[in-house]
Amino acid sequence: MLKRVATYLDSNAGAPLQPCVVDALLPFLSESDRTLIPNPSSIHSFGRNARRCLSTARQQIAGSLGPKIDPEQVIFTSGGTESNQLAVQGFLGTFLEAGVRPHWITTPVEHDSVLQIVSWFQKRGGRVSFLPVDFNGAPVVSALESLWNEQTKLVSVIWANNETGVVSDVEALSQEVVRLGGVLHLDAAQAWGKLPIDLSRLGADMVSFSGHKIGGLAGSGALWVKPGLKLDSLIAGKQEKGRRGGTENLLGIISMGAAASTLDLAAVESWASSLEPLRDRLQNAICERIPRVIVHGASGRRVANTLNLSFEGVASDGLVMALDLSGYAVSSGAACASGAMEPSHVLLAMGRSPGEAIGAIRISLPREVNWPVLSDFVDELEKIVNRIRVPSGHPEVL
Amino acid sequence: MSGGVDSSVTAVLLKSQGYGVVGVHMQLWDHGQANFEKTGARCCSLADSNDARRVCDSLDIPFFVINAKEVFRDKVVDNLVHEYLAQRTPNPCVQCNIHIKFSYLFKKADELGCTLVATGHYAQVRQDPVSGIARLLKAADPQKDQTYFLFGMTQAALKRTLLPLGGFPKTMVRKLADQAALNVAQKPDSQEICFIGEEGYQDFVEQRSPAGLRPRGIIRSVDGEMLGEHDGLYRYTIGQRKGLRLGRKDINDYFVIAMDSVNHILIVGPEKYLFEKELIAEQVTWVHPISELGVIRCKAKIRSRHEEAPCVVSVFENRTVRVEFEQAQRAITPGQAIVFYDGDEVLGGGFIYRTIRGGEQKL
Repeated sequence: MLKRVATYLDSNAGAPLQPCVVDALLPFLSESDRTLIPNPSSIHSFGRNARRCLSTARQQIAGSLGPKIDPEQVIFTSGGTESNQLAVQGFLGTFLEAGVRPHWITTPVEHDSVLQIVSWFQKRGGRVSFLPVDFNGAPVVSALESLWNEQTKLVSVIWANNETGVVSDVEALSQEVVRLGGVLHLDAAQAWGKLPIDLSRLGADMVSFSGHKIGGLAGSGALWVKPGLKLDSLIAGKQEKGRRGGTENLLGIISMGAAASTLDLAAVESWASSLEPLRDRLQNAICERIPRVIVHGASGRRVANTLNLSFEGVASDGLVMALDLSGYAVSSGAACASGAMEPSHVLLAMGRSPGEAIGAIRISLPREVNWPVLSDFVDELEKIVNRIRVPSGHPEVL
Repeated sequence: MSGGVDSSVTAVLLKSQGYGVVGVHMQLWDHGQANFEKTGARCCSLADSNDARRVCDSLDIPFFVINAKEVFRDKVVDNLVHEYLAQRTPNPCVQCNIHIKFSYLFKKADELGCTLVATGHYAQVRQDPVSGIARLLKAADPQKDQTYFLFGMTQAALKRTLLPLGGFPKTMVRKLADQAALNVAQKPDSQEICFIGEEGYQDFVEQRSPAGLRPRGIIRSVDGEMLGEHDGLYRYTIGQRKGLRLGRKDINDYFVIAMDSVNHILIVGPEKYLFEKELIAEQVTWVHPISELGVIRCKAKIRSRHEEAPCVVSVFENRTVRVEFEQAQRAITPGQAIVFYDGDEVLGGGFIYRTIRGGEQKL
């Protein structure tokens, strides 16, 4: 019943480690005189070595964000969640502290780590507006001006959606925010490595990144901040120029730097051009073989590896579990702390019904996947969906 | 798997018997969601699901959490509120078994491709090799027997149900948990209604219903004497003695005898009025297939902690029965389950609709 070696189709949750990441980490883990993982704040040679590693990683990361990006504008964090919260809380906090009641515009399809800030912000007197999204889940940039007021300080938008893969029009968005005179924060956790990024040509002011989405270690993240932007720290301390206290996660940062070093424009394009045809073939095969399928975000622009589907009359929890038992790892939109699944807020915001929103699964292809694997997956998926759709032999007693 | 001892040991036993086991925890309620603390005897905290998860990890079996909050609220919680407001005393565990554990969970088992479903209930299933009929039998440990709560099981469900604990006393189950080094071995047994906390059911009902559905009224004795006022009939159950707040201080041995739901009158009186011989039960289902419209001699249990008593059951259409006990029974309570036994075997059961009062006891 249980297939031991599982096929991983959940890359958006965490991408497999890149080989170069393993190579970069091994010297610190192998039994040599370097088994020590030093503290970059130390004055001695070990500390200087560690600090050099941080500096290298900072350059590697800056290099993946476009030409002429100053590495010193990269702040290391513990991941995408902290980067988002540092950007939004750290920036809006400066206004709250000054006694101003700032206005913040975000979208209903943000990652939970941004939406969690809403109640924090409102409790402190801030006001929030949500930029609507279209049927595909892409923010409607033209609606921004109608939400704008004199107190509008910040706009936060997810660059590529983690659940649907739908890409926001960040060029139009940044032009509009510049025109209206605000600050733009982009959550690029799912865009990094999947889309060409050139921050030197984009009018964004803060951009969040996550290490384990590009094949680095979880627990590593970064926030790029435009020079001159005033930002409060969330964790007090002298590290990261006072913007993020606490001893740096050296191995995480090295892993993120190594992974980022592979992300030049050509690499990102080759990643997309190898996965997009596979994703589209998978989507077509599923839609041909299985009736009553809804593909979420199908007519929008999506990152190459992501496919989000609902099967009418099928709740995703049973489907994800059954696929797991058959050896396929996919995910469903949202889960609470215990792991019980809830309707996806992203799909609800896109106008899907609660039934469709709790029935959605996300397939996110890792780079290494090939068609024979996906073809087997479609066979299994068809079998399970048909099994779930057969009316239960246990009708309600009462 | 609730995260308690019983379901954990069930998993251990099944695994040792060679089954391919999948652990499932049903999130029924939002108790401990916000905090990470144990909720003691109550269920569905994050700590409980984590306990279940650790047991499955130690057994190296898959573990999933199923969100059953909506169906639980619909079928169990709302039913409880509705029943109290209808002057009945509900049994949410019975509803949960009927609608959640032996219905919704089976649907999920189908989805996962599981052929059998096992629970940590104390009861036994025997399939008759000749007739193919699955029989639901009492647990070997009479103190732990839970068949009263399981009468709503269908043949279809019973035939694919495993109850590995039915043959063990609880002490043995704790010993098995200890031997398997489960950290839940000393966890206390669950108590009372799992989703209602220390506030009690009265507060729970009040928070979930408009005041207009909970009218106040008067208390009068079986002789018609006005004895005071009450704050709503939902606060009382048949046979209740405490908290009556009668106007006359010289009466302290009166019990709730009946409720007049049309005029919102609470009727109280001496204990002898609690004893009655006949009742009507509705929504009756039979675990053991029976012939329609017959008469059955068996024993019946009218609440979970009640000694079963000999009776004659006349089966009517519309899943209604009339039950006549040999001896009058104390405090027959509308809304409670009545379960029919033939020796150790559960025949079926239903919900008490009302009693049929003898001539001299007309209120």
